[in-house]
Amino acid sequence: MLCEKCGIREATVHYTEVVNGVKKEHYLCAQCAQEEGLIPGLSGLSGEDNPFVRFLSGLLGGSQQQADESSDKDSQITCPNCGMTFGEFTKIGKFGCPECYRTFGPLIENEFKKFQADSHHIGKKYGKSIENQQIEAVLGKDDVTADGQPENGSADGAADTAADAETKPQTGAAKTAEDAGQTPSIAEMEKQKEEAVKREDYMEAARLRDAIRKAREKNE
Amino acid sequence: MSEAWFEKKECDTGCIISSKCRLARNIDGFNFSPKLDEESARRMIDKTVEQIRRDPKFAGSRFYDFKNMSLTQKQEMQEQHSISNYLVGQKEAAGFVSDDRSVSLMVNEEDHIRIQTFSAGAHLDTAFEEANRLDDELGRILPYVYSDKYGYLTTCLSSTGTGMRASYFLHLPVLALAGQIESVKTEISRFNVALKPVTGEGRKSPADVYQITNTMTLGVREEDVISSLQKITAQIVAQEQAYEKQYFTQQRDHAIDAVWRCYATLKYARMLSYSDALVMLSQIRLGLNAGIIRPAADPSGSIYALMIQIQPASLQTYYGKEMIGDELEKARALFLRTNLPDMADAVSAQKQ
Repeated sequence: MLCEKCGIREATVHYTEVVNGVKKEHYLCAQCAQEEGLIPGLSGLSGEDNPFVRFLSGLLGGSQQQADESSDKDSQITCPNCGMTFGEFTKIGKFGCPECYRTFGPLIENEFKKFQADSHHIGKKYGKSIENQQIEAVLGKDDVTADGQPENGSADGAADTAADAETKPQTGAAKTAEDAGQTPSIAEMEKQKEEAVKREDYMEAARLRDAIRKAREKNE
Repeated sequence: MSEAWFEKKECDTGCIISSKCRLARNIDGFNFSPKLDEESARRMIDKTVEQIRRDPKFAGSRFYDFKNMSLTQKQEMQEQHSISNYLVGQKEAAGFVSDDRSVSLMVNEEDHIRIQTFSAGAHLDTAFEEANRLDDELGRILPYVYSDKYGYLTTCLSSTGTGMRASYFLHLPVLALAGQIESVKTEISRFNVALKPVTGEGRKSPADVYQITNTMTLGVREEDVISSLQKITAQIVAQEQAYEKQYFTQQRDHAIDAVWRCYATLKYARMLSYSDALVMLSQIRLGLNAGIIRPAADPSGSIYALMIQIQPASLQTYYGKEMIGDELEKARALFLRTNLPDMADAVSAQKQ
C-alpha cells in the first residue's frame, strides 16, 4: 500500500486516530509520518528507537477497545499550564511543561515501570524540587525552611547544618520512632513525603523533607 | 584552534572510537519545546546565556548564536558532533563549544539545555565526569526543573530521571560484513541498551560506525548505567575481535586485498561520493587495527577525523566555497588524496 499523503513511498506506519470519538485509519510512509510528528525528532534516541513513542502511540491507536473505552475519556485531560491534552501527549510522547508531569504522571505510572527501571528517580539529586516549591507556595518559605537553609537551588546543599535541623519541631509519631532508634529509611520518608504532597498535607511534607535532608547529611 | 578530540590517535585504536555523555535539563519558568513558541524560546535562550556569561567560570567559553550563523556553519558543527541534528533544525539556538570540541552546551534543543561531552577512545568515565562537573556548575547558576519523584524533568519520557545518555562510538566492520549487527541489536536490547548507526544515512552505516547507548533513565543510577554499558560494550568488542580474527585467517588474501584496493582508490580517485569514501575509510581503519597496513610516517589526525571532514559542510568550509554534486565529489577526492596518510605494508614488515 502506498502512503496516503505523498502517494509515492510504501506505507510502513499504520495508526488510528481518535478525534471526538471518531476513529480514522491512517497509512503513511516513514518520512511523511515524521513530518506529521508521529515519529518525532531526528536526534539521539528520541525518534524511531524510542519505545515510549511506539508504545504511547499504540495506547490510542493499537488496541481498538482501549481506544474506544479509555482514550476518549483520558485524551480530554488537559494540562492546566500549557494546555497539552493527554491525547496529544500520547501521540508525540513528549511533555509540554513541568506541570504535565503532575497532570499525566498518574496516568502513565505503569508505562513508566514497563519502559524504565522504576517510576522513581534514584540518580543525581538537585537542590530544589518542584515538590518543595509547591510546599513553599502553600505554607510560605519561612514556615517550611525551619533549618534556615537559603533555598538557592544549590546542588550540593552545603549550606545545610545538622544543628539547625534539630530546631525543627517534629510530630509525636516520628519523634517516638526516632527515639526508639527506628529511624525510617530515606526511601521510606521520600515515599511518605510524596504521599503527604498528594493529600496536600504540606506541613507533614515539609517535616519529612527536613528529616530526609538531615538523614542524608548523617550518611555523608 | 587546538586539536579536536576526533583527531586524536585514540580514535583509531581498537573498536572503540570515542565515548560520549549527554545530559538533558530544563529551565524553570518556561514551557518545554513542544509548547515553547519562538518568542519564548528566544527569551529563554537570552536569559540562560546571559546568566552563564555572567559567571566567571565561563568567561573563556566561546559562545555561538544561530542568529549570527550561516546554515553551512551550523551543519559543519553538526558534522563534527558539536551540535545535534535537532539543533540544526531549530530557528533559535545558542550555546558554547570548547576549543577541542569535546565539551558542548546546546540551548533550545529538544530540552532547554543539553550538555554533551566527548572523549577519544574508551574513556566513558572521563566523559561522564566532565558532563557532571559542567552540570554542577550550570545547576548553581540556572534554576533547573527537578522533581523528587521523577528526577530531572525532560521533554521526552525516555530521558526523564537522570536525563543521561551515555554512549560509545564503535567501529564494527566485520560484524557488519557478517550481517551480525541486527542480531547484536536484539541481543543487547535485553540489557536496556540500543545500537544505531552514526555515520551515513538510514539504518546501515557505510563506515560501520555504530553508537551504543543506554535506554533507561528513570530508577537507575548514572554510575550503574555506565558500568553496565561498559560491560556490554566489552562483549561486543570481543565478538568483533573474534570475527576479525576469523576473517583475517580464513579469507586472508581477500581481506588484505580489500584494504589495499580501498587505499589505492582513496589515493588516486578523482571523484568520491560520501558513502563510497566511508566504506573505504572503514577498510583503512580495519587494516590499521589488524596490522595489514601502517602509516609510513607519524601521521597527524585520525581516520575517524577524515570520516568527519569529508562531509559536505566541512568540505565547503575547508575549501572556502559553496559546492554541490560533482564539484563536491571532486573536492572530497582531492581532500582525501591530500590528507590520507601514506601507508606502508605492515604484513611484509612483520615477516622481515
